Amino acid sequence: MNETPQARASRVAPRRARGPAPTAPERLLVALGADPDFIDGVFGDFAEEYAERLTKHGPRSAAAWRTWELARSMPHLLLCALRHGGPRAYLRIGGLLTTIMLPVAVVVVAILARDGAPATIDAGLHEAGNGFVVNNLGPVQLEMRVRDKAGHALQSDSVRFAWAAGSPLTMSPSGVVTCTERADATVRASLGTISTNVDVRCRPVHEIRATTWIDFIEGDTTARHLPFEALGIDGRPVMELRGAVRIFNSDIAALEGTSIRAKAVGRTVVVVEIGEKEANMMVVVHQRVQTFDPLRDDQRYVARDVRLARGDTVHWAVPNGTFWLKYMPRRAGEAPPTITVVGPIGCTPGDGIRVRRMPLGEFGTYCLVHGTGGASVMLAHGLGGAAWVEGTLAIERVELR
Amino acid sequence: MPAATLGKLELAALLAVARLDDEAYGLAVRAHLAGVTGRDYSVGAVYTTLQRLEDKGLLRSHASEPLPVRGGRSRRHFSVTAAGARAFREAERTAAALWAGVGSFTKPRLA
Repeated sequence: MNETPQARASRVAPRRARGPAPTAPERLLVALGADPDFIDGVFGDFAEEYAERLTKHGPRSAAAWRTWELARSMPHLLLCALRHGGPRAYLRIGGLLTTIMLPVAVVVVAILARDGAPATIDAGLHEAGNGFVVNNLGPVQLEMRVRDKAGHALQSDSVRFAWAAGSPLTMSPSGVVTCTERADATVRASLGTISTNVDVRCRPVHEIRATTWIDFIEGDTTARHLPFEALGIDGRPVMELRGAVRIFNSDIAALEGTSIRAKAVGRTVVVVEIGEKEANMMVVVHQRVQTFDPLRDDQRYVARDVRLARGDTVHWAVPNGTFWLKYMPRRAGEAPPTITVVGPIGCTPGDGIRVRRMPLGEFGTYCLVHGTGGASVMLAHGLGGAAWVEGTLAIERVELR
Repeated sequence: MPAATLGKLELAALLAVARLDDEAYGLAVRAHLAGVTGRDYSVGAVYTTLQRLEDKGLLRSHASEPLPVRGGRSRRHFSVTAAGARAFREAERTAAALWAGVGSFTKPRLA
């Protein structure tokens, strides 16, 4: 009844020798002072129930049970081992915990100690020439980059700013600057004993002018610059820009910086954000077709090549329904052919002007075919002008809901 | 000799061993406790309780022959000692004394 752990261990040792080799948790528990016989019983139960669950529920469920059961049993078993092991067990577990905790403590101390005193301050790598380009019209916070000697980033909230040179600038000591007109100034940014001069280039953007569409033909994989321009308060283009470009569906087209490349037939939207201004552009990748009529229901974005010699005229049937009719010249700036719609079809902005010139060189009109069809589009190249007119006529069918 | 003080799980395990008789080993005791109390005690919790009872002299144990179903390990069978029997009888008497006279209050009453 009052058998010591040592006596119990020696009593059961010969029987243990017949069993399987002890696992790592068993060895740990016995090393801490647990009764080997007791541990044998515990792990025997694990083995028996595992075998039963293996048969009933499969290997994954059985393994999950064993892992969970071992995890929640270990605290009980460790305490039991300590109780039975006496002072030697406490010394052993103390050593074990030290072995585990020491590296953890070293890592924690290293993490806590990694942030040293501020050593450098700058405008960040993304800003050229240690300065800021501000495209906002409203107040904007200048964000400095502060690092310690080891190069770790530190909080920059406490950086203080003061105007140093150049154009007058509306700026708070915390670095909130308001650019109401084009200006170039130098400001001093300070944090404790470190400071630096940074350039602030005010280039407020009043408007972003962009095309309505960016049209591609299937198979055209050349990257194109996004067709937009940012205009300042004086109406002149702003060339120094900081902002973001996003595309809604990158399966249709992919952004490469400020360029875009077609990937698959379909339609998506590109958003350009500069300062407080934003512009949206439809990106349409058209399927190249030989005829506009008939079209399958799923053929919503289609295009035909246009090549007309002087004096040529072609009539192409167009599908029923509502669609955008667009013409893209092969070479930018080339005049389109004369485009007229014929039959039970109405196009904006009125019957007199069939195709209108849109901003940044687009030609497009919104058309509705009335009744059951029979409408067509006529393209004619007059006797004057270039020997050939070349481009693409595209239809983007609109689903009215 | 006064009966040993028993905790709730200790009493439940002691009674389970008494109830299971020859089949009282860890796995069976754990399954019995789960059935009676509705709680899924861990293998470790059940075994440490059984060993505590053995240390108190309320249970004794012996190992079976190694069994294939247990990966060549033995089952550790427990049985109640005379002291163990006295302990749960004492617990029963104590409980009965505590419950005496409170039966009428345990009936549900309408608010």
